[in-house]
Amino acid sequence: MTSPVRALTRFHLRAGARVALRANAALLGTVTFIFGQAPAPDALLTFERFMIGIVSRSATSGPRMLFAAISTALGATAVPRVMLGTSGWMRSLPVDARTRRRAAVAAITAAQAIVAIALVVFAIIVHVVLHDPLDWPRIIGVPVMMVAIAGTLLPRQPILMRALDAIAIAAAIRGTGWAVGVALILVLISNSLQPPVAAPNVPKPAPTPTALAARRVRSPRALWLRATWRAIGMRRMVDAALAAAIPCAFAYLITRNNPQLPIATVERVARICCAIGLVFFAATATNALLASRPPWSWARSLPWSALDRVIIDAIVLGAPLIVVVAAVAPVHWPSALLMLCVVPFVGALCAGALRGAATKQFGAAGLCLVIGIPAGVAVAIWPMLAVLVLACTPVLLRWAAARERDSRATRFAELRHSAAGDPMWISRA
Amino acid sequence: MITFDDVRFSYVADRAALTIQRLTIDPGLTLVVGPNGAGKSTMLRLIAGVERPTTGTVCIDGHDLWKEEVAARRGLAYVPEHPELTPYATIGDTALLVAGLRGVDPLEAVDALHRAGLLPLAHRTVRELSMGQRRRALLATALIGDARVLVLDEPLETMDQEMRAFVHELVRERRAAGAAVLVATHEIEPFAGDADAVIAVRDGVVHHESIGGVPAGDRLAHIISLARGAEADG
Repeated sequence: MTSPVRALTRFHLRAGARVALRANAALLGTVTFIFGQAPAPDALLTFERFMIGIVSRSATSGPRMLFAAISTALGATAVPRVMLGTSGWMRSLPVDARTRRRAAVAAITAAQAIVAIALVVFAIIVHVVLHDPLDWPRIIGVPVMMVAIAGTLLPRQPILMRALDAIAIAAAIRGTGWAVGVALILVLISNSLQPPVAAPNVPKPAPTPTALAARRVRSPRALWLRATWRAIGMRRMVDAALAAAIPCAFAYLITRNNPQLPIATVERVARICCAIGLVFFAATATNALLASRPPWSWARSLPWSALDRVIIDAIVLGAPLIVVVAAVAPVHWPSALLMLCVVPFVGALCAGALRGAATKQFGAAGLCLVIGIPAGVAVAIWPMLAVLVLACTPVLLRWAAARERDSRATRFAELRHSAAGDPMWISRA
Repeated sequence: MITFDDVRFSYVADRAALTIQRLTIDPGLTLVVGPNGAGKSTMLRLIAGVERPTTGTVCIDGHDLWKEEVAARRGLAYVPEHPELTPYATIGDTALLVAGLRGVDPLEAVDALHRAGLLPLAHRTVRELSMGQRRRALLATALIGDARVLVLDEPLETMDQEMRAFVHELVRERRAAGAAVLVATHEIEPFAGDADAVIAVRDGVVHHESIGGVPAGDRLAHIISLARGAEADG
């Protein structure tokens, strides 16, 4: 490793990659929790098969694909942190584009540390405890895959480099001797290519006065709606939707694996999982909005009411929840439709929880979960309560507006915004 | 006209940042003076409806800022010390938002951006502007509609000579139109000649004095003495 690469890599490891490593701890906790909840013999057997699939001979490549998915998720979490600021002042440093890329790849690979640690632990367990022979190409293939994943995830790079890394990932997952050899060669080629220097900035044409005036949207609230949506962004919304995937998957798996279940139970399972999914999604999205939207206290001086502002937030946070209802609909669509009644309630709840949440340990999610889960599950168990929940929505909106009015908009403003764009940062980091 | 009635404001419990028993601010130019941290900006935020008083009421033209939110803010224009603009909307979007909420023609937004010299930058977001340009953008929003209450917090800070002249012109224009113009500033001299009243803030307590009767030649010295008194006490 040349000196500039080492210096840059060390910098990334101490900055963005270090922060990104937190996701490893979160992942380890999740995996431990899931296996801890599973019945003992089943969980151990599954875990054994998984370990063998990673480091020993196995007919299926499922465990390696799961490993690749975990690596990709960890790498994707690391990319914004590692790349933060690299297109600014750091461009003035005497380092060429290839060195920058290599350092970033090294840092993003390091952020997947838990995968490498797991590989070593699995190899020891499989060899010493299970007495299974180790498959060395497969073991070597995992770090190659991690580097290739890091290379693929890097933003703004030529399609050729990305394609080389993508093929390397596929070959590393396959895990045979020749495939890992090909993967290694492809990764070396992609890291030896010279990426282009940054593309020249193409200025957008300034709008003419008439064009600007004609751009009037139907309502100024729609402008704010658009700005709020931009603040949360599609990517964060997709991340939040993943939080709903687990309860939705539960609904699907429970009903598909137990066809003998009475219809009343299927309905209840669909409703409960839908309710939990709705609240998980909304709570995660609310925390994302809390972290990404800087306070705009000046906007409070404009002629609109606090109620207007919370309604806009409730729409932005509530409307995407329809995705959860759609996801549960294949299990039992009338139950999923019924849970639509909870959507306005959850949207209003989140809009209220958002206010004053910056100083809370769990951000806005704590309040969303504490109120939202019992309310949603209550509707799931006693569907007649849907009417009550709907009737409560205007009251919740007024409560949210009161919180908006009472919030200290200009106190500790800098704490409310995650300048580093770190979604794990809520308020007291 | 702005009225404070038994207002107390705290950032943290049991520690008042500002206490105002009763205060009426009439149309004309009112300078808000006092040392750093005395509560000038807090007072302007209370008038602008950015912060809600812990107790008491703030009314603009008889409308309670927190009960008749829209009516009270209809003629209000606030330019904070720190240019708070959302990074998720362009300057053009922000100007159109203000025009839409104030119920004026969007061409007024275009005209305001033009007057502030920002029309060629209307497609940019706050992240693509310099600090001075961000403040210009907020000044531009103050030009949209006929503001009856104009609240300026340190309006000359980071401004070049051209924009300083622009601020003075804006203040004189709104004052002549019968608006209540409040300026919190440490640069007293540029505004002294036009000032009708002074609010000296000392350690969260305000002292209001009309200086309409003070001869024009003595105003600057009089305001400075009030400000120094505040600073000495503060």
